[in-house]
Amino acid sequence: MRQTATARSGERRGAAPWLPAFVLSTLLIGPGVGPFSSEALAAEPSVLQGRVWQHLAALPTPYPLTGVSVQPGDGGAWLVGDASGSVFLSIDGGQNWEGVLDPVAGLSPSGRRSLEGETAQDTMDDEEMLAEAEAVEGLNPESAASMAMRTAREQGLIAASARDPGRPWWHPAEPDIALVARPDGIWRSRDGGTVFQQVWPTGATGFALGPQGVLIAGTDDGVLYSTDAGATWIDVVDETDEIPVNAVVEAHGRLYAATEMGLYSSADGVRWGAVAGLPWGAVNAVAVDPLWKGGLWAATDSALMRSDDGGSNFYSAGRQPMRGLVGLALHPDSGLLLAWGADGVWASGDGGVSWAPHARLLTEPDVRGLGWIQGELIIATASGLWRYVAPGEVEDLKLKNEQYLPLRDAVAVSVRRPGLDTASVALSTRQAAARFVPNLEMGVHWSDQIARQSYLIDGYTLEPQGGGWQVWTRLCWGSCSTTASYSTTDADTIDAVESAIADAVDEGKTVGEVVDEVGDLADMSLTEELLDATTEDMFVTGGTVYSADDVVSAAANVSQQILRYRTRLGGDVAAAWISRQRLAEDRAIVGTRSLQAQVEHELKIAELDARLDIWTNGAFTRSLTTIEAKP
Amino acid sequence: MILLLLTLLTAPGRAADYTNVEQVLATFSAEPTIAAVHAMTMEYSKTDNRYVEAWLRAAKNAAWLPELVAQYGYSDSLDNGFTYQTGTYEWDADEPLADDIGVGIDQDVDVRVKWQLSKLVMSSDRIRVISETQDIVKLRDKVLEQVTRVYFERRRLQVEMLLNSGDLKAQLKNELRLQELTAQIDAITGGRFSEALVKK
Repeated sequence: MRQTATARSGERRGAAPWLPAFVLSTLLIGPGVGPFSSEALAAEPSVLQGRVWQHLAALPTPYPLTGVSVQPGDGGAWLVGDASGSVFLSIDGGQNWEGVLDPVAGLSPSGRRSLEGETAQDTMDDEEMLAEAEAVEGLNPESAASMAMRTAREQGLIAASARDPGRPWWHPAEPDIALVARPDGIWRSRDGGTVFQQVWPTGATGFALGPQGVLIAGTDDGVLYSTDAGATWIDVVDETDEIPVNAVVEAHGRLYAATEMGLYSSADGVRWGAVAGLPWGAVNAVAVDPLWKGGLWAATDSALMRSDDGGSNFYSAGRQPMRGLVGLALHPDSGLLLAWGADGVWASGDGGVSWAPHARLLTEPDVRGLGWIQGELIIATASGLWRYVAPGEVEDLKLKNEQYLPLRDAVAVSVRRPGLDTASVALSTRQAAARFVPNLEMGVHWSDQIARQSYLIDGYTLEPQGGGWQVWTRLCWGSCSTTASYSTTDADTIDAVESAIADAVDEGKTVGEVVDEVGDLADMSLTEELLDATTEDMFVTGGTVYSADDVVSAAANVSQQILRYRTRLGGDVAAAWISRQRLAEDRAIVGTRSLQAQVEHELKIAELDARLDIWTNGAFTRSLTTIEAKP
Repeated sequence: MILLLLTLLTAPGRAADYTNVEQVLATFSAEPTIAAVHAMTMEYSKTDNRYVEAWLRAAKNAAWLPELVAQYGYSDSLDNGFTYQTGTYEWDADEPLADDIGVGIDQDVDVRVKWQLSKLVMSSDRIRVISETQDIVKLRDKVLEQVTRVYFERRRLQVEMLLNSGDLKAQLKNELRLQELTAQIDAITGGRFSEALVKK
């Protein structure tokens, strides 16, 4: 059984490459997985790493987009469907669009959401809605969440199910053939998407290419199959009859159908059987693990589920449920598992255990369709078509490309400030070493002796008698000279006072307290003399009295205090730096909000800059440079 | 109160006059920056880095200074010797006869210098200074964080007042709060913040 970890909607993970992996990781056990860490994110291939979402020119439709598909091979034509069932074709990489299918008669879809509107995530987090769902007697939390999602869909607040109308699909083996699944049936084009004809009269939801070239279609009434590239379709009686199918996929020669009543599989596309391991409920999407025989992922309304044994048993693939997923796919170049839905696009490099969001500049997280061209992602959302590009490709990008002090350097500067540097830390070692260093004494002595001697006092002369110079040098360890004198010879009193002083020092008393305590033992002059002698090498630091013999202890205590503060400081600096980076990355997204929100955002960044300057003595702001984004 | 009302009546600009972030923040360009406020704070609290560095430097360099003892001695001595003679007659009384006189003048100069080389490595004085500088650094960080928090709280209030003026009651309340925050910054900077506001 795999232990699971991390990643949740709304979390944005900034790069923090220097932090030890164990800080950000959870040890996982299981096939094809590894510790989730910033290193894992940093290892994402270039098709996804460091990219941003670019909103492409609006399609000529007021409705949310529901699907996107890119023609395989060199053609590169794009087909996009919207909530009305209309389909549009572009043959120049999304620059210009032509309507190729009219809306489905009788559909009344809600209009396209603006870029600043309430997002699906806001609705998913609606606690009132979830509480109301959970109040239904007998519902477990997963079912409650599923009910909440359906309620939100019915109210048009979030993406419709995986069975959105207008979902185009290109035949992988015959590039000129395109199919569209709509509520009014299956539409087919054999000229590269220019002209479509209806080939099946009842609602369809998706397609897959099965074994031996058999095409499979999911419909509102089970699955169909075609042996002539979709020109004609056959409906056989099977276990999927009367069950709305959301998606079909093929892998390892086996077909899977995600339906409103669970997961079904087939070896030939004709005979289908239920996959028993999933709990009751709709399955919106399914993907097959190419590296693990029997490995499956199934997206329900409330969670992403994983099976290692072909569907006999399923378990939750993440620590927290990933709600609202409508699509799963394996990226063709990187092998990353991609998931999309009401909470944007997520990618996993460890088999669905941990996930990373891909949301830079994506202001609309309600993703309803995903495709790729030459490995580059394209998504259809409620607010239009987006492409995942390198930042330099985005014109008029409202990004400030900033360079500033790396996190490692910021922490290093903060803990090396005067008073906190390593020289201040290695005190006890230095103090211990100091004991072995001698004292040096040098002296110069000059004397002159004059004497006169005469028998009669009638005159004298001064005659030098001697004198001279002396120069000496002495090295001594410890005290070079010790003098002590007491004004009394009362040895017992002296002993008593000295003992009392030593006891008081051991108890950590201050000098004043020591004087008061021993004052009664002897007269004040003796006490003071003894104190002077005893306290000559004593000192006070950090509120504690230390004697000459305890200097190493004092040094160790001071070092410990400094180290504790440095450790806490490093954490504060890292937290502020990471917050600052995330806020900077969110600038473009915030740029779509109100002016006051933008100003508030900038003030948050400025405040973090100021705090980092406190800890780095201004080095952070001095290192800050803004590079113009390349058009 | 009159000044307060005048301030409200002469409030600059309206929200509709501002179209981007830079325009809004440029409104406050005449006020001291946060870097200037930090400098004021450190100067007032005497927690600037230069004090810390000076103390550490002094503590380290003090060990280079030796203990100097200079002594000068001078002595002036007189030694008078007498010889006593005893005569055989009565009129030959004992009289001292100066025999020799010795005068001695001594002077000596003694200069000693003593270095405690162990203090160049580490000493209790340096430990004390390092402990105190550590406290200074902590105090400085704490005070600067406090003034930063208050500064930006004040700036946010200014932006709020600029973009959403509200009714008179709300304006009065915001203006009083603004003055309160200004006073808090003054308390930490010793009045320098308001002085800078007035100058500019």
